[in-house]
Amino acid sequence: MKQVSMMIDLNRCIGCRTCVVACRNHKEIIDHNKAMPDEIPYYLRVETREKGAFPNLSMDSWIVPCQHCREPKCETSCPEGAISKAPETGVVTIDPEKCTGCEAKSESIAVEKRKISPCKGNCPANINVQGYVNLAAQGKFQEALRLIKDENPFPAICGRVCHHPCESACIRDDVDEPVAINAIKRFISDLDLDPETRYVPEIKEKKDEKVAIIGAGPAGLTSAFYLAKEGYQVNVFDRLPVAGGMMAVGIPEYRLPNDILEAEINVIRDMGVEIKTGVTLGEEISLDSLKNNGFGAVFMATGLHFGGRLDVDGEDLPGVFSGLDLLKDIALGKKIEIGEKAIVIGGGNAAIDSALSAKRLGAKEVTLVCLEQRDEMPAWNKEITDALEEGIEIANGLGPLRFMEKDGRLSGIEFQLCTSVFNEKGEFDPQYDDCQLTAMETDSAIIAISLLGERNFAENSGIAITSEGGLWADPLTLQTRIEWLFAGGDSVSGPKTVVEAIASGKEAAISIDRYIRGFDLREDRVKEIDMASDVYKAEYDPAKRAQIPRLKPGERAGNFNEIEKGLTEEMVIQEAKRCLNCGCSCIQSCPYSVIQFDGEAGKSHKCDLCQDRIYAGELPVCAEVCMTDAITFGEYDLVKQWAVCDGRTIVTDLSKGSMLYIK
Amino acid sequence: MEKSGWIPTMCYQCKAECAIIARVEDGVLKEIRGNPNSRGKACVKGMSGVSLQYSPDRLTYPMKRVGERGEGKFERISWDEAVDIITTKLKDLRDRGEAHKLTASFFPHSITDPKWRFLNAYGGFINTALPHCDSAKILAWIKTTGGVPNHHIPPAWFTVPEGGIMMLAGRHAFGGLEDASIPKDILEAKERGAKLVVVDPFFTAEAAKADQWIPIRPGGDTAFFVGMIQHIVANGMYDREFVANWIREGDFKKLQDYLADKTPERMSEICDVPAETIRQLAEECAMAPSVGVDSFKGVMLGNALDFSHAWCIFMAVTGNIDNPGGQPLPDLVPLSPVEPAPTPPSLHDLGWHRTGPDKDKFEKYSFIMEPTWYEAQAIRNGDLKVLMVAEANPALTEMGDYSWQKAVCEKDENGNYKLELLVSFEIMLSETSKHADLVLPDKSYFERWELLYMPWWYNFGHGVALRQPIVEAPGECRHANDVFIEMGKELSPEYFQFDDLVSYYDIELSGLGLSVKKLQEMGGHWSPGSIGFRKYETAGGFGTPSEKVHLYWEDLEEAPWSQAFPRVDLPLEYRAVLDDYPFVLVSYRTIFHSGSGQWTFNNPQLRDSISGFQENPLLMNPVAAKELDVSEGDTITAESPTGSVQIQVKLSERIRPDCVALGHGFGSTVGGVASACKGVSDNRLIPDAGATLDYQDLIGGEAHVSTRVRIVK
Repeated sequence: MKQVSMMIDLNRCIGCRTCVVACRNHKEIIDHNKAMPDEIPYYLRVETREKGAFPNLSMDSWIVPCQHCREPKCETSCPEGAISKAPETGVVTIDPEKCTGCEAKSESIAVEKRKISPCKGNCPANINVQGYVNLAAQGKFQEALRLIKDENPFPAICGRVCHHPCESACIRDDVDEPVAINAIKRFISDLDLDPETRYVPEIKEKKDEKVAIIGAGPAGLTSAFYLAKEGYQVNVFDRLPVAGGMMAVGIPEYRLPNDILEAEINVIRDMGVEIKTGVTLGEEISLDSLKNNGFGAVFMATGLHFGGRLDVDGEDLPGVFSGLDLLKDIALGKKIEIGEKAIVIGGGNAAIDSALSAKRLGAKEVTLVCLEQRDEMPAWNKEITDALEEGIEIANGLGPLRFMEKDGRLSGIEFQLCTSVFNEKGEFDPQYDDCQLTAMETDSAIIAISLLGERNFAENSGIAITSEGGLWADPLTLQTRIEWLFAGGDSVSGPKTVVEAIASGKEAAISIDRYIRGFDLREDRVKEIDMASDVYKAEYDPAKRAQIPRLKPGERAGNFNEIEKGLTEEMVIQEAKRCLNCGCSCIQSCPYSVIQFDGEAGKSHKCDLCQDRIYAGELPVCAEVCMTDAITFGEYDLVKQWAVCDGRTIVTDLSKGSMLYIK
Repeated sequence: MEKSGWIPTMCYQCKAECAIIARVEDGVLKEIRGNPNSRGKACVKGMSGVSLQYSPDRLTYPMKRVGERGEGKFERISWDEAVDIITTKLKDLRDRGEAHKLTASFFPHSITDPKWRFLNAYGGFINTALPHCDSAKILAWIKTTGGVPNHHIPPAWFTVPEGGIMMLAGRHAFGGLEDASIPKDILEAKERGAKLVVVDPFFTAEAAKADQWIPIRPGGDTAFFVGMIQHIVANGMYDREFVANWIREGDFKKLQDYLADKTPERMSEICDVPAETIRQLAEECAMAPSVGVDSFKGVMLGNALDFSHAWCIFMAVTGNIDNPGGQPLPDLVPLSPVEPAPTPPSLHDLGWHRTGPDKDKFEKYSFIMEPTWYEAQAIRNGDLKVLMVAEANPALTEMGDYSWQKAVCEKDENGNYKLELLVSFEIMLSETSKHADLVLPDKSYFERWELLYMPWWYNFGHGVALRQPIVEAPGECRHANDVFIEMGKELSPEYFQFDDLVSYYDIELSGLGLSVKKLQEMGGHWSPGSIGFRKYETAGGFGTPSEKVHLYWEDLEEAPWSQAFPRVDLPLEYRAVLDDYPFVLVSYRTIFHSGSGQWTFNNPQLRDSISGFQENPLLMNPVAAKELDVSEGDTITAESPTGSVQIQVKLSERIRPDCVALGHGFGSTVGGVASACKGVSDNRLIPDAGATLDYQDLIGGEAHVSTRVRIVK
């Protein structure tokens, strides 16, 4: 591939920013008569890294222009196809004729348009939501899939089970209703189910280092995906007989069909990740054995696989089930006798799913009983609606006092009135009135109140446990007190959602990669997200939000068929057009934040490495004006050769695109 | 006629005045570069000159104050009226026999600046519009060698050989303030095997590139250098040939006696640099083919002359005066005098008025200009009646908590301003012009002629350079030089017999066989291209009375304290209030701003977070902050003995735990950009020098960059 580059010498860069101003002047991206600080576009910026403590310090500075990536994410994300990489120079440019600024109106506030759209900003996995929605609006589903999978290896799964904070933040809600982002994502991601259309990312240079991941749930598999993409050899171990963790055994099939899960896990397998099921930490393997077998780092993402107990009389009677075990047994195909009447204890999503599953197992009457009042229930409204639709009764404000026995098995439950669930500080602190008792008859009881992790191995291995009972890991880096051991997902955070587990797995992958390469784990990890709050779209599509087809309640009984159906292609395109384009796709996709927005023209723009000057045999302006001649311009392979010949070190954590940073 | 193309001229974003070329398109300034024919670099301030040129805050017509001073209310007047107001007042002042109560604050771009000529002819005084930052350095070198290296004559870094040592002692050499090519020259010398040593309580951009960083206690430089000198001399590692041939007889013996008790161990106690480090660096310097030292903060403290003296002795005993990589001594090319030359008023007879009741203390003062920052004091004493300011901003530059601003507003018992007339020549409204009676729109450096004859400038050696108009000035702007010449023709016509500024420069240039036109055709720059090393050898000696280097200053044996050899103690301002004010305020500089000038502080690119320096939080070492329970982002009060400011704290490992650091020059509240950005003036904390004469080196050095402070939550 042809690629021009700039080699930036950190021994010479003094962080003076002369290049920033010279570039602005040359490119005329500043109106000197009106310019105000922090509102002026820039094509490059200076970054500085300080290390050490007084008096043993070091400090490096370098410039960050557009990195003219080998595979530019901006190019992928642009719905107009306005961004391209020149074949003869490798320079990435935005064609102003084609760029519409994501349909921005021409007097947009540039600073606002440079911000992140709320859908992306609220996504725990930081997916360029607006980008794929805009691509979908143009029917560019394959490109959209690639964009999603840059940040999320399980889009088809998330398309079904995500609680979609993107939609909660969608500014379209101010007009009518949020864009049906999740349904759009689901349609796009279903391309991943077909071997013909699925997207398997290219593996970067293969590395010798091995990483072990314990737990094949969403956190573990996500880190496996990104570490494999970086070229690491990744082994994933799980004690369950299937891969997927809670996605496999905690989410019922009517929400997440098995074939979807398998298809997305297969992509990870096909990237070379070995997933070994039925392997228990502390039995077949131990941290020491992993270490001895050459694994450079270990990621613990063991999740929460034990149901909490109520500690009331009769809890161990036959007929009393743990909700978690129930869902797991269903998923693993075990036969379960649930009887005619079932009572589910708990107010969260797991309780709802237990109730819906009981119904599907043949229970005629299913009652869900919880401490909380309806508006206090932790279950999502959507799930509560599902339950009510299927005729599940919900009894609020009751706490189990004892399980009643008849003929050696469960016959009913006695409840006491719960007068309040939370104390003044908002902490869980239920108060009861034990004079007001209610008894209910039932064939089975399903306890779905809380989830716990397995702690024995942790204690045996010297891993710190938090006061809440989770594994302790640094909140920023997920590193435990054992420096090569990282921990994340629910086992650290307590019960969270799939997408949050994915986010955790991604962070773990970043930390492990840095750890193995010997880089600072903390640097630049805290990202301040500045979200757009205004919309500058020229005009918007007034269509109403698409209605997502669902199985009618009557069609759901006695089977585990998927309740929600997908949208048609036509519906997806129409729905995607409802997006108000709060931000810009390319700006949000750029990992280096180098793309600018021209408010007056309503277009994106950025460094083009002074392509016109290159053609004329001149240097890019930044290289020409550099006070210390820290910038060397030339073909990538050539300048790299110079660096090697001079015995210089390539700063690999900076040299990720086509620019070369040396010391 | 609208110009197009790249035109050579001279930058004036700061006092370095680097040679640049500017691209003009149909009469509009577009871009700036360093002039490739003259060392070739421009810095971020220089590049931002385009934003200065087209600032919406440019003044375009003369204005007269209509409200009270400082209210900033003005009305438009004509140039005729403006000039008439000034000349009428100056005639009146001269008729009263008080011509010497005129002072003009400006930066002399050339030692033959026509504004200076005006003052000499009229009988007023100049001060350089900024504290005499380098007076101690100049004085010390004159006393030692008879040469005049000012702070614009750092070592010629491009001459440092392999193995040479480059020492920056409290000097922000990467700031581009001597020349924009200096950072490159230093780094290239380093690449060819020279060693960079940074002596600074703050981990500067230079320290980040240094081979060795010595986080010295502020003000400890004299002790540090004397410790090195002691080690070198006591161990016979000095340059024997230079000492034998070029040091005045008897001086070296006196030095040895003086050094007897100045061991590295003892000096270490004062400067907080380990004795081992003092010895190590002393030995390296003694062995190195060259040592070049540059300092700036060290020559601005209360013991400035002591440190400058130690610096000179160090350079002499290591044989580094005027050699490659050492301290260059300036050379002069003769410009033609413009006859008749006016005789300036006597500084000793008519000057010193700034000092008021303490006049006697200045008995030994020997710098060529008056101390600058006593304007406030002088106004109160009735010694300053008319102040004309050009390219300067004393309202922020003067120390003391807005002392200058208060003084110019003071009235006598009759309700008249004590300062009778305050005139500001400016290109945009500044804190100073806001207080002025007359605000006169100056031309920017892209709009005017100026002959730069700074024979010692780093960038063009002993030569001349031409600033030329490349774009039209807006509105009614007039160059201050033209206005001074017009007033000169009226007030002192015998000294202003030439036509205009260009013909004045033509006369001066005639000695070199040049004219403005010829210089312009040559590319705006004339220089022989050589510096010349060890010029004292061919000249047969130094410019001192003995023609040798004077290490011992007998004229200062008993005045007011003995300074015949350097006093090694920390400056008094750092010792006097130690207990109540535990921190030293380090006022640091960045490349983005020049002094307290409105030109950089009201420039959008230089205040932009991406391309400049927006505000100046107080930097505190985390260890010190923890002791005071101060956290990142806390707003605290920093109090000095004479002022206090509220400011946000930023924690930084880059500063000594017994210091806090504040970026210098902030605090402007005038102008669209400056008023939209935050920032605190360090000068509000630093005491008005007139009020702390006891801390000052009244021989010529001047304390004006630092103070002790305490942090109050």
